[in-house]
Amino acid sequence: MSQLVLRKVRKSFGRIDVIHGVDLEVRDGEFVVFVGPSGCGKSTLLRMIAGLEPISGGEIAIGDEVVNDIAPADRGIAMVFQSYALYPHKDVYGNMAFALRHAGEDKAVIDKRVRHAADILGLEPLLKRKPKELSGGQRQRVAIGRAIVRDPEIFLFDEPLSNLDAALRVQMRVEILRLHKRLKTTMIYVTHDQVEAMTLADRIVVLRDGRIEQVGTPLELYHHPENRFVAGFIGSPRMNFLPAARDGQGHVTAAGSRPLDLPVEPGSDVVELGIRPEHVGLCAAGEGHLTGEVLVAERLGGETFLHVDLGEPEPFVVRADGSVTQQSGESVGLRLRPESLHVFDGEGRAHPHRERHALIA
Amino acid sequence: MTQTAPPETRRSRRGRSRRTGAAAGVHLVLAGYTLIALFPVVLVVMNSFKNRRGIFGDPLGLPDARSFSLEGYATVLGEGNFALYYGNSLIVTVASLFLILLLGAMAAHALAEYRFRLNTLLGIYMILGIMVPIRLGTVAILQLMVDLDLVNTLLSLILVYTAQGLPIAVFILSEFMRTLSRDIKDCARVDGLSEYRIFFEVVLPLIRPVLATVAVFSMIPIWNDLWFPLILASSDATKTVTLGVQQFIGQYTVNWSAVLASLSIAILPVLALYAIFSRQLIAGITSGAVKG
Ligand SMILES: Nc1ncnc2c1ncn2[C@@H]1O[C@H](COP(=O)(O)OP(=O)(O)OP(=O)(O)O)[C@@H](O)[C@H]1O
Ligand SMILES: [Mg+2]
Repeated sequence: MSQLVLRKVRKSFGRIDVIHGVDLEVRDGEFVVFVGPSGCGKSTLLRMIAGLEPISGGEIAIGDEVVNDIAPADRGIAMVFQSYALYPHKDVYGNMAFALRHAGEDKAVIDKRVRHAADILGLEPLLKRKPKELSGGQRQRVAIGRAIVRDPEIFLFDEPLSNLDAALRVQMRVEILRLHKRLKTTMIYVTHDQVEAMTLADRIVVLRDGRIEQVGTPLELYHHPENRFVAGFIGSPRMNFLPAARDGQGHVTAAGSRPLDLPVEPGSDVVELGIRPEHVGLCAAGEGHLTGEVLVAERLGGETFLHVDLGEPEPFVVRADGSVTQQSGESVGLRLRPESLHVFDGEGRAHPHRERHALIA
Repeated sequence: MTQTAPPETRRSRRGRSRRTGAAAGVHLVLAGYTLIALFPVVLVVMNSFKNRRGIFGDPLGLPDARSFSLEGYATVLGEGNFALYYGNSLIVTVASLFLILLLGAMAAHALAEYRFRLNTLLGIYMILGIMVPIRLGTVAILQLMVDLDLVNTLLSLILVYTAQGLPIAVFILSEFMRTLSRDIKDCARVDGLSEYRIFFEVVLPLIRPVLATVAVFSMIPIWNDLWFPLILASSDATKTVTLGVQQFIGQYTVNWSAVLASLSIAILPVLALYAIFSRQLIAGITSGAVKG
């Protein structure tokens, strides 16, 4: 059963089109993450689902009911904002109880629900504090608690962790994941952060310029990106791209490499080849598929990123073990793992892989 | 601090003494300014406790055994209508302030929060009054009040002062409201508040310090105004304090003790209102200073 359905949803601000017809189905209890570059319309789409932005075209349905003309409060959603948006003049309890008080809920019921949410998030000792007496992490917890109290059908999060420092972000990420496991409520989550997207999502929606580029599980997007944009966007450091061509025998070569054993349809268009830094092996110069000179070796301890010059405008990045000895200036050979290569045609579409990755059913 | 401080602290001590010097300079300037600003007020209050001879014989001296007298206060308080004038002033000031703040904040909220056609134009129209003194329209206002049968009512004054105070209030409040976070209002919308309740329960508490600022400097010109009470409400029942004081200023003789005494009394409510609002001002300043 699908909980949330978007049909040809469009949005324009004045004459500027921001969302160009988005179709999406979110299943009951699913954790869906929207990612995309800044300004691609993630927040706008989320606010349209919340009812905070009027919809210029199309239809949004929550649990079988079209909600285009229904006020935010009556959509059964709760939203957590990047800036926390706590009411500064109310204490933590007052913040969490606010919506229910307005709905005219019974005092005892409010108290029970606030205490339940406070219990889930470990907020009991803070209930009497004002927001300005809380740390950033505590504030965000209150904001999430306020959403839990409303017992929504769908949680909406707009970059809830991006104001927190790195350590706290990891901790809150785990907490949100546990919250989802516990409540089993549908959640829609907007983020810039790759790691958040990969770890939290049941499915990721990649947006670009108000269009969906691909929807899939994190590993689907990682192993089987449908186009060059998704391939480059998911994964960090990002995928290496090399210009590719066919040689006389119909084998694919990239940037002057040795012929690669690739399952490409004869006669199909091959323009570019992509491979992730972690799918490249090092070998002696002259062996392997490609040879280049190391420009920089970034040593992080456990792993080393080698930036290799292949005569292309951008250096080719290899993720190697922390113990590799190559220095900048040395020549290295690169071996590309054929099953991890991505082949793109002139329009940036990916050729389908011969077989699905083992981890993806 | 003594001369024999260990050498490693000397450096920091020099830094501190330089800072103390700068602070002393700042305080000197501030003290000087305070003195200049307070001098007339002190003079008025001081002389209100002297008899006529004391006022003219030694205007700058403190009241002493020979010059001390409460004759001014006796005249003012004995004059039966003074309490009435006082009440009139209070009613007019408080009612006008209330209307200025309420209507100004509502208009500012609408201008800052909602996108609609002619928004900017409407905003400019509303604050145009800052540049045009309302007294230019006195004749028209008088005609209007005559037509509305409002002459010699406190309501006429309240309406005029509200109109006079609104432009600057709208200007300052709307500038400030544009800086309020959009998220918190959206959050209230998701929580199910109507737009009116968002205004009253979310926006107003957030702008309280600015409301206090606007209140303070809208209040003084209203309380002190002589022009409109004289023109619109000079009947005995509707006189304000500033107008009431005029009865002690005759064409040939001026009852200075009475004038000064009534002025001294007139300062009190302004001080009281200021004390109320300035608590808000300081609360606002310090709560903004701590990282939010
Ligand atoms: N109120 C508005 N009026 C006009 N244009 C707007 C408005 N709000 C957003 N936009 C435009 O819509 C586009 C999408 O904005 P949106 O905030 O949804 O991006 P985003 O994906 O959330 O970006 P970020 O990751 O930076 O938060 C942007 O180009 C932005 O300029
Ligand atoms: Mg955004």
